[in-house]
Formats: sequence, structure tokens, C-alpha cells
Amino acid sequence: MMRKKRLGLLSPLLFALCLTGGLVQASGGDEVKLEQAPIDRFDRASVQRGARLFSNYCLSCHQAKFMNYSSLRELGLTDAQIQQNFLSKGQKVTQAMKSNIEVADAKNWFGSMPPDLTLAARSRGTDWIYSYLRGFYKDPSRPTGWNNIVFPNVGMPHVLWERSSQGVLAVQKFESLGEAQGEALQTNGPTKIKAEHGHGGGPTHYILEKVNMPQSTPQIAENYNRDVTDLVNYMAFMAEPGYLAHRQTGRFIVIALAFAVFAAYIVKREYWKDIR
Amino acid sequence: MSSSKSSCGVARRAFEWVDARFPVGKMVREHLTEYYAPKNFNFWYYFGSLALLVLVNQIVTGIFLTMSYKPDAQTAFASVEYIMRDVWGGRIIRYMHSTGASMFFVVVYLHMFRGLIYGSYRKPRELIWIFGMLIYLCLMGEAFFGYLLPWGQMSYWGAQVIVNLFSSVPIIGPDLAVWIRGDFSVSDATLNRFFAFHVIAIPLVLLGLVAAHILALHEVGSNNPDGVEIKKHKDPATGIPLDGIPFHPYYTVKDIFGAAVFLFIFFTIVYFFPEMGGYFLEYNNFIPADAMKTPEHIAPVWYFTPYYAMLRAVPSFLGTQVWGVLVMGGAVMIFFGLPWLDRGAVKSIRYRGLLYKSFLAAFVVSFLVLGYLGVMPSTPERTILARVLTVVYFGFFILMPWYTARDKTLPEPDRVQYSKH
Repeated sequence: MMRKKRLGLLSPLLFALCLTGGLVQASGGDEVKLEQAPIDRFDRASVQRGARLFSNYCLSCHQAKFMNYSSLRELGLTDAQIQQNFLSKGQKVTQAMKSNIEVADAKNWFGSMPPDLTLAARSRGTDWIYSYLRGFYKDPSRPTGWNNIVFPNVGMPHVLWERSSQGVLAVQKFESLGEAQGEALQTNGPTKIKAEHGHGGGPTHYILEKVNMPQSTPQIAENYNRDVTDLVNYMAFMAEPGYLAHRQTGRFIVIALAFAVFAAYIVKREYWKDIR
Repeated sequence: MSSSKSSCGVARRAFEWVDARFPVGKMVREHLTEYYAPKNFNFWYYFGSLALLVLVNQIVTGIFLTMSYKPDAQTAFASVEYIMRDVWGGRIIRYMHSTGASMFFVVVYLHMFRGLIYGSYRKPRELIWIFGMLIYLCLMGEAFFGYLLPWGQMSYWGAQVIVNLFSSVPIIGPDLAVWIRGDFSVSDATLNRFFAFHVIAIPLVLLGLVAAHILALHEVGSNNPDGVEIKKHKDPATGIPLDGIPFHPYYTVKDIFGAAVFLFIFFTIVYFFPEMGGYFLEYNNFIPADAMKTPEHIAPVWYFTPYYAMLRAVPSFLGTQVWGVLVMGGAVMIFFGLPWLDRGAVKSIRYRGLLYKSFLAAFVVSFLVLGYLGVMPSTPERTILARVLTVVYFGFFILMPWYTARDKTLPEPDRVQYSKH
């Protein structure tokens, strides 16, 4: 009887799941495969290296106006270290990470002010930023000379180009979506799959785009991957500087509550003994 | 020894002094120690007290957020980041508030579902149900107004979409929308009035309704999973229902256990999954509101998505979009009619027949799948599915007088079923 009742409650849920499963399959469009950013938010050395890269490269044009330099204290840096490594004379630890360019100049050069990056790791996600930074390739048709697989025709040049080897766009044709997806899974780096439509309307074949790095410079590629990882790790930190401390506290709170559940259960059972 | 004895005496004298002037003792007796609740409450009966717990959480964390938040289009977004970064304990308070908003709906939906399956809305508890529904409406208002306050992209465009619904009202629509916003689009004026509604107007009404909900409940007594009245069988000597037990201590200790389990889950979310994969805090809301950039995909927070899916599914007709709005509003308001739509011979699902159970299952599926569809971008197939499910949703209510009266029910027991566990 009991078992039957449970199944009865479950069946609408199963029905709902079947329906939704079918619907997910139905959606289409360009398929960008992001890589998972291999970051470890507890690796302080990596976050610190990323902070240096961020202040040397990104802050040239972007800003992070909700992020105060003083939040770098969360990484174990002293005010003197922050001052020495990140700030010039006259700048204060308590100030926000402002851009080195003026809004008017930015509008002139890029058409708009480059977006604030404080919360980019939370709005775009770390995987997106990681893939984007590894998605640049040479494209002479673009004013900057660079294009990007994740963000087509992006206005931003490949700022870290001198630390990277120069990527080239590689295009492959496949008969089926499955083959293209299989190749995408094999690829080290972000990929994009586009369906090409014939005159009839249905997709005739699939184009896989990826970035090829010159094989002659494996050391540079490896260093660049580390740079990007550090940078994304820092951006994740910057989006939520209290994250690390927050998780530590969380562990204590959750363990304490587990004890509270147990204690409350004992008390409840004791009181309810005499109810029949 | 003597000092503790005398302080005890002082406390008692102070209590007696107050009790002679204000009915403290009477209230404690009526609502706790001598309020007799059925002894067979099960899992579903935790969600009422949990809703109260979340309400307290929202009010307390809300007070602290208000101390640092700035209701100003220029500074609102930055002030939330300030709370998250520089205010002592600000992160945790903000996450408790944002998680609390979603958990409020989780708890209230489960609480309402309990009412549905055990027939808790039926005579003599119609007013409890109506007060409860009014609380639900207030909650939706609270959530909607509060969601604008962080002034992110989803805050802004969500409010824009919802307020624009009012412009579909024939003739007065456009003026009505301007009147609600206080401007021609969502702006600083809108933010200020939404703040006023969120922090004082609606909470005030909400608290009054919660008091009325509980007073009405304690007047007629609680329903239970068997849907039979415990007041039918009273101890002739004391007048206490034979199947009733005093709320305090039995249900206070039981609800404290429920609260502990809930807080365990709640703080796991607060500390480890505050964004809940973009469902509790939407990713786009980490981008400041920008009136010039419409996000590609505007989705409300999960608890509104069943209604949002209905809104999108209804086609425009006679040159106006107002039908979708009416359907969405009707989908919420139709709950008010439940006490009069249900003509079943029994209250509880335990003794209902297959007909009722099938309709209920279809309703639950339609609600859940519509919720899913409301999150996703719309496609032609999804729109058709949403239309079908909207019909199923309304069918549950509109056909209720027919199928509940026809349903082959089992005989109700005379007394509640309780086995020690």
C-alpha cells in the first residue's frame, strides 16, 4: 500500500522529466564549447600572480571600481606589500581599482567604455573568461588584428599577446553533429560548431572552429595557460573577496547545525514517548 | 541559595503584576500550552512554522541590509557590493536574505500543497485559507519589489517587463504603467517607491495577515492528515479532544527539530551555494542596470516562472495582449475559490478516489513543467506545451466541483490514525 502510494506521487515527476528532456534536445544554434577553468581558489600564490597580471594588463583599459586594493589583505598581503606591488606614490590602499584611461578616450578608441571587471567572474563565469582568453586568433580583417572564437568580432585586442604564441583559426568540416562534437571533446581549447544549411533548409554539414597554436613554442603555450589560469583565479577572488573566509566559517556552522539536529531529535523523541 | 529564591519570587511577582494588566498568561494558554493540536501531524506539517521562521529571518536580515543599502539608481548597485565586501557580516546577511527569499517560496509552496492534499481549506477553515492566499499575494509583491533593489540587469528588466504588463490594459493601460513607475521607464523614482513598498508597506500588511491566519487557525483548530475533526470526540471530564495534544511542549519540540533540519539545509545553501546555479541569484544581476542594453533572455526568478510561462503562452487576441495578463492573474486568484470548488465527501487525499488523485497529479505536473518552461527561452514547441499545461492547470480548478462530487471515496475513520514511530 505504502509503496504504491509513493510510486503514484513519483509518476508525474517522471513524466515531467521525460518532457523536459525532450525539449532540451530540440534547441539549436551555434554551439560554443567552453573549457572548464582549472582554477583552485584556495591557491593564494596563483591568485597573487593573477592580481599582478590584472593590474599590469587589464587595468590599462578596464576598471574594477567595486574592488578596493585593501581587499587584497584577504590574500595575506600587508598594506606595505600592497602599496609596493600594486600602487604608485600618492595612491592609497583604500582606493578602488580604477582604470588608467579616461572614459572619453575609451569611447574614442573602442566605441564605449570597456566593461567593469569586478564581477565579471560572477556574471560571465570563470569558464567563459578562461575560454575567451584562450580563444584569440590572428585575423587581419579586424582593426585590432585579432578575433575571438568565444566572442566573435570583439572590440578588445589580444592584450596578453606578447606572453602568448599566436593562435591561428582552424576550420574542419564534418558530416554529422556527433562527429563534430567528438572532435570538440578531443580539442584542447575552446571550440565552436556551426551548422551549414543547404538550399533545402536542413543542415548539410557542420563546421568546427578552433584555435591552433604553433607547435614550435610549447613552453610559451604552457606559460600562457598558467597566466590565464592565474588571471581567472584572481578575477574569481575579486568578484567575491570574502569567499575563502566564508567557506571556512560555513564548515563550522554546518557541523554545529548537524549537532543541533541530533540534539533536537533526542529531545523530541523524549517528549513524544508518552504519546500513543 | 536565598538570593536565587528571592529573585525567583521577584520574577513571579513581576509576571503577576503584568498578567493582571495584560493577558500574557491567557495568550500563552490559548495559543501554546492549552491549544490542542491533532497528534497525527506528519512531515507536511512542518512548513507552517518554517514559514514563520523564514519571515523572521527576512525581517531581521532586512533591517540590517537597510542600514547600509542606498535606494538610489546611482548608488544602489554599488551599495549592495559595499555590503558584500566592506560591511562587517554583510555578506552573510545579504545571502541569508537572498536565500531566504527563495526558501520562503519553497516552504510556502509546500505549505500550500499540504493544504491541498489534506483539504485544509474546507469548512470551517475557509478564512484561514483566504488569509493564507492573501499572505501569498503579499509575498509575491515583496519578492517583486525587493528584486528591483539590487539594481542589476535582471532587476531592471524584470521590473520593466512586469510593469509593462499593465500597459496592455485597454484604454488606461499606458497611463497606468506610468503611474506605477512614476516615470516613463523604470528609473530612480520607481526604485524609491519599490523600496518603500518592500521595506514598510507590504511587510506591515503581511504581519497583520499572519496574525489573522494564526488567530483564525486557533479559533477553529488544526486540520490533520486524516481530515477528520478531533473536536468530535472530547474527554467528557475535561472537554479536551481525545486526539489532541497541547501544542507546547509537543509541537514546539517537534518544530524545533524541523527548524534545525531546515537551518542545516538553509545555511548549507547560504555558505556553499548562494547563487544556486543562477536560480537564487541570477548571473545577469551581477551586471549593473543599463537602460540601453536589453539582456538577450529575461527570465524571472524560479518561483514566478509557472505564471510567466502562462503569460507568454497566451496569444494576443482582438489586437490586445491583455489575455495573457488575465490568465496569469487568474491562475493565482483561482486558488481563492478552492473552499467552494471542492465538493468531495472527504477532505484528505488518504480517502479520496482515483479521479481526484489523477487530477491532482496532472496539476502538480503542469505546475512543475510550466515552471521549467518559464525559465527557458520560448520556442514554438514549448509554447504549445505551455498552452496545453495551462489548460490542465485551470482544468484542475474548474472541473473540481464535477470530479470531487463524482469521486469514489473511501469511508473516513472516526478518529485520527496514529502509530507510534
